Amino acid sequence: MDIMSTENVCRDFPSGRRKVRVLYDVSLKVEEGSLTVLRGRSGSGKTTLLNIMSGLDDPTSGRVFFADREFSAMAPALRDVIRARQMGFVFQAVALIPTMSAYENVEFMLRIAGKKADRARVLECLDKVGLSKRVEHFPAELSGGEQQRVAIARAMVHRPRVIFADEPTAELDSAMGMSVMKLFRTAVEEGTTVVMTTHDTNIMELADMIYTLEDGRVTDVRRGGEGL
Amino acid sequence: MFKLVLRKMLNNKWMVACLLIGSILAVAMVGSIPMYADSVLEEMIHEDLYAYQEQSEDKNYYPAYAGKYLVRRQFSASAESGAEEIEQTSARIAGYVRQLGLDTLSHTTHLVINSVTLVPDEKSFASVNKMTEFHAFSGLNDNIELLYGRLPSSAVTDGVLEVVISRAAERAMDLIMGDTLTVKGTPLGSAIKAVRVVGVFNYKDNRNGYWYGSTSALDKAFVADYDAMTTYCVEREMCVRRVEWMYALRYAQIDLGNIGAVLGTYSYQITEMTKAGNLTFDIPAYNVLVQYVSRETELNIMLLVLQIPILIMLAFYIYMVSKLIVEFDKNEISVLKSRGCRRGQIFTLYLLQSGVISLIALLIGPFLARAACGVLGSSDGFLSFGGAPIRPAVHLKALLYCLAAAVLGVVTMLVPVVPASRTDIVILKRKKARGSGKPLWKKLYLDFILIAVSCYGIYVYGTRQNSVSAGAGSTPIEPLLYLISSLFTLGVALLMLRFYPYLVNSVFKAGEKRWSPVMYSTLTTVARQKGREQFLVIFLIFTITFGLFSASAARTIDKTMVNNVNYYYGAEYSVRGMWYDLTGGVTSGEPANDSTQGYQPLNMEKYTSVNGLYNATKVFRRYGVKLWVGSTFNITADLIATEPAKIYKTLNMPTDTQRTVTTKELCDALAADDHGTLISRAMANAYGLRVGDTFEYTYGSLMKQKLNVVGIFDYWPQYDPLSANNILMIINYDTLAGLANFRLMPYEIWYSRDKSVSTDEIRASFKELGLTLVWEKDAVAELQQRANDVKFRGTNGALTLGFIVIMVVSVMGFIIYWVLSIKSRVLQFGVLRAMGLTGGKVMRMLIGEQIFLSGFAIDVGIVLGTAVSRLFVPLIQLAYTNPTPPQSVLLLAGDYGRLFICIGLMLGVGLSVIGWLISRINVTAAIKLGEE
Repeated sequence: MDIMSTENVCRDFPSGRRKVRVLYDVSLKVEEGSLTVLRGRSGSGKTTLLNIMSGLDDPTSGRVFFADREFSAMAPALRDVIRARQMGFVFQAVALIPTMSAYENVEFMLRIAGKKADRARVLECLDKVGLSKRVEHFPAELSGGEQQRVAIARAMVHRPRVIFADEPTAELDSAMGMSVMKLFRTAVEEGTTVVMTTHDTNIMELADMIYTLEDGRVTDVRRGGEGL
Repeated sequence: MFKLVLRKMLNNKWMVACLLIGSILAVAMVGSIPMYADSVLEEMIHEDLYAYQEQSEDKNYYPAYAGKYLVRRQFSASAESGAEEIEQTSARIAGYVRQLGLDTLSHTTHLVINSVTLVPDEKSFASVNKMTEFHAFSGLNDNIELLYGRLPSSAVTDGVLEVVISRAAERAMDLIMGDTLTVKGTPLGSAIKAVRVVGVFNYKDNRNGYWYGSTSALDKAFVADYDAMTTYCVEREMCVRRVEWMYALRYAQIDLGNIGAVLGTYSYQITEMTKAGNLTFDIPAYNVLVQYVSRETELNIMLLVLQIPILIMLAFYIYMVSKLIVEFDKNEISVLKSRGCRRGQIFTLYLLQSGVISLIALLIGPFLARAACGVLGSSDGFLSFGGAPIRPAVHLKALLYCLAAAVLGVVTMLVPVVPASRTDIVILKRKKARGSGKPLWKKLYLDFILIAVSCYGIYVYGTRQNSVSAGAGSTPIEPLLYLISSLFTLGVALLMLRFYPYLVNSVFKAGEKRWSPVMYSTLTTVARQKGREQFLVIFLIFTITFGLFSASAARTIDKTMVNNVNYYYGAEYSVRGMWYDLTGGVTSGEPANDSTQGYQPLNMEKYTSVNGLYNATKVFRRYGVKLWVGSTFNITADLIATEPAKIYKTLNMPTDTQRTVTTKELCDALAADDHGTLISRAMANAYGLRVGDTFEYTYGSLMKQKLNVVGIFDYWPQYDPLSANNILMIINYDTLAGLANFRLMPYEIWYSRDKSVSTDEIRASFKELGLTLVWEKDAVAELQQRANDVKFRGTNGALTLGFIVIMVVSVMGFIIYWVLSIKSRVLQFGVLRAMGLTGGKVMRMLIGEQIFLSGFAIDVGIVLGTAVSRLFVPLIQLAYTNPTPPQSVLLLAGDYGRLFICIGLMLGVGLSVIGWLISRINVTAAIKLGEE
């Protein structure tokens, strides 16, 4: 079953007096419980597409569906609620809250999602990302990779249906990047759908579905493992 | 490099603009001190000199002259010659006068021969004194007008010296034109056997000071021709016993530019004349100018002291903004350093930047200082501008002050540059990773140190208060006291800042499981942030504390001044009329304590008919009254007898002056009992008297009288409870006057006053009614004069100006903090929005932070401001010579209200800015910004 899909999505941005089209009639589907990768060079429109799919941005034209509902037509407040409860996010710039410890950053997401504080769940997530011994440390005391792993734990803690990750391994070395991908794989195996953007070809082997974007268009669609 | 500096400044224009505003304010505040001081002091010099004349004026004769320069030389009877000496001294004094550089309005050399015995002709009715004086003045002819007769000849013919006399002398000595008197002996020289009156003169009414003092010496003396006296009484035979050289100098030429030189010259000349040993002098301007210099110093110190908190805040603000700019540039600095840029080069870059900012501040600041002086001068109360504004000139001294402030501004701006210029990219990254650590003030326990220092200062002041008596020349604001109050405020603010995070953290932990995302984020942010918010909190606390303290100090000073004047004066207007004893003799002095002399009653009907005065009340005083209290006798006390029902209406004491009862209750109790008395608390404590007790008293020829204690007072106008003579009792005048053997003696009359009637009109009314006054006291006029006093205006003005500047600086600091706080957290807000937190919740988070930070600062500021006011305002030493009933610290609700309005505006502006910034956050752009 497709948890998400886009239908002829276009996106224009103003550039001075002109408009620049970044996405051209992008239509794709994301299967539930899959690891879907949007790949492409810098400026190909993958981040913009991810933002539209997650409701952070609105398409200029076209539609976005989430769980069989037209997500793009929903009121922003409703989209906020859906994002809070059913989606998780991991960004390239980690952006943990500096005044909260690793534990508190993860627990904070539970509160945003409207759920009760659940210490066991938070510790479970931090354990999954290999940070069970760093729960009381603040972001300034963690390395870049550790911070990214906290962000992943934060994205998973409230059991979202979808995790959106924008270049989550861009600032990590290859070993760390692979480790993050394995975490995503684990989440997928537990039923979470992961949609991520990357331009790193090495990690795509773990993907279920790969969409290639070039100049705002989907130029290739293939399943993971098929030659690129 | 200059282009680079300008480009940097333009890239960061808002922060640079904030820094520039702070620098301009600092230059203006410092420059306003000499500008205000000099413009009012210039007035003060001439006012002081003129006031000397007014106070010294003998109303029945000619006025004293402030520009008098009088030197005297006394010659003994055995002096054989004096001509050469007189000439040399004349030349010397003329030289001294030239050194002063002031114009001479008039000059005279005055020769005096005294102890001349004259024998009138048989036909003459003259009644001359045995010891008659002879005077001669150079330049006399231009300064008298002959009523009749002619001027005396310079020659002595047939041994007769011609003289003229004043109108007063004519009457006093019963002389007429042509009267000839024989000189007994040769006190005027052997050539002069007799004197003949050839003319009667009056003094020309000139104010050039020729007639420099009281001319009463000529009321019973003769005036000869100057040349005649010189020839016959100096050159031929030395008979002159005293020579005076008098110069009337144009004191209006003394101004700020030359006062130092004039005073220095005066000092030198006085020293030389004192060394000579045979000269005495009377130079009133010297003492007036010495006092003026002392007041000038006091005023300058006072203005500087009052501005200390503001200057500290401005320095703090400049440092803070400069630090923010440097932080903003840290990446750039570290990159430059990593590329080989030397520390000196980086320092030079910021030196140039600071220099440009300070230069602009120096160009604009003096003019703003001029405007600030307008506030200082027109302020007749805290945040009140009823006085006339002043428009001082921008002169060199003020520019030098401004320059000093600009230079200090540059230094302050460079302080954060020093550590930053050491930072290369490695150190920067490491610092970012490690965090900033504890602030320096926490590591050094600066909060405890400041509090300890200020508590010690309070203790020292408290003990000093008992030994220092208030004097007329005291500074209203003790410099160190003001500094200590600022240190105390800063110390307590830092202490609150140290412990507040723990308090917030406790609140966080208490409800950790239940907090909403908004509260969760707010509490963790407030409890754990270590950055700029400290500045904001301290700023706000300081602003509110200083605002309340300024308001309280200004109002308490105002009120104390009013109360003190009212206490010293007693009533709004009081007089002591001319009394006539039973023989018809005039009495202007006070009768002796043991006097039994009686007096004729005053025409009270006239005294109650004076225009502008009402509630006329008798106040009789007697000192050294004898008391018998129980078995104790030989007690002496002071007595006041008055009309209790009326005296209450004339008194101007605050209702809460007495400790246990009101003054009205005391007066009512006295009015209700004809034989009642109010006694001072000192008397009650000394002799164990309580309300209901009785004792006896007497004075003069009165029989012993019994009195019932109906009340005990702590304060009564003009009564000093701390003085040695603090045993005072107050009784009914009418009862006293009804006693057998009562002798009517002079009393004062106290009035209430219609303020719409001027003092001149009141005086005219007394004159019209034919009432001669020995003295009069006008409390209303005194209050008006004090309100116009330069120190008083300067105090109110400086406190008001300081408050306004601090509010401006706080608003700017507040906005800077919030703008930077939000801008630095745009990515964080973007991620939170992405995660599903609504814009409204993000806004509520920030409002929550405002409430916890600003709200905390406001609450601490109000409590601390009230505490600092109650602690320090009473320690303010006030420049009064008479005791004041204790004035509680005044904190008016209106001042709190004004402060809240300012704070409210500040918070409102801040919230608007926050709301606007939040509304502009584009989530995707924010996240993208983070990636970059």
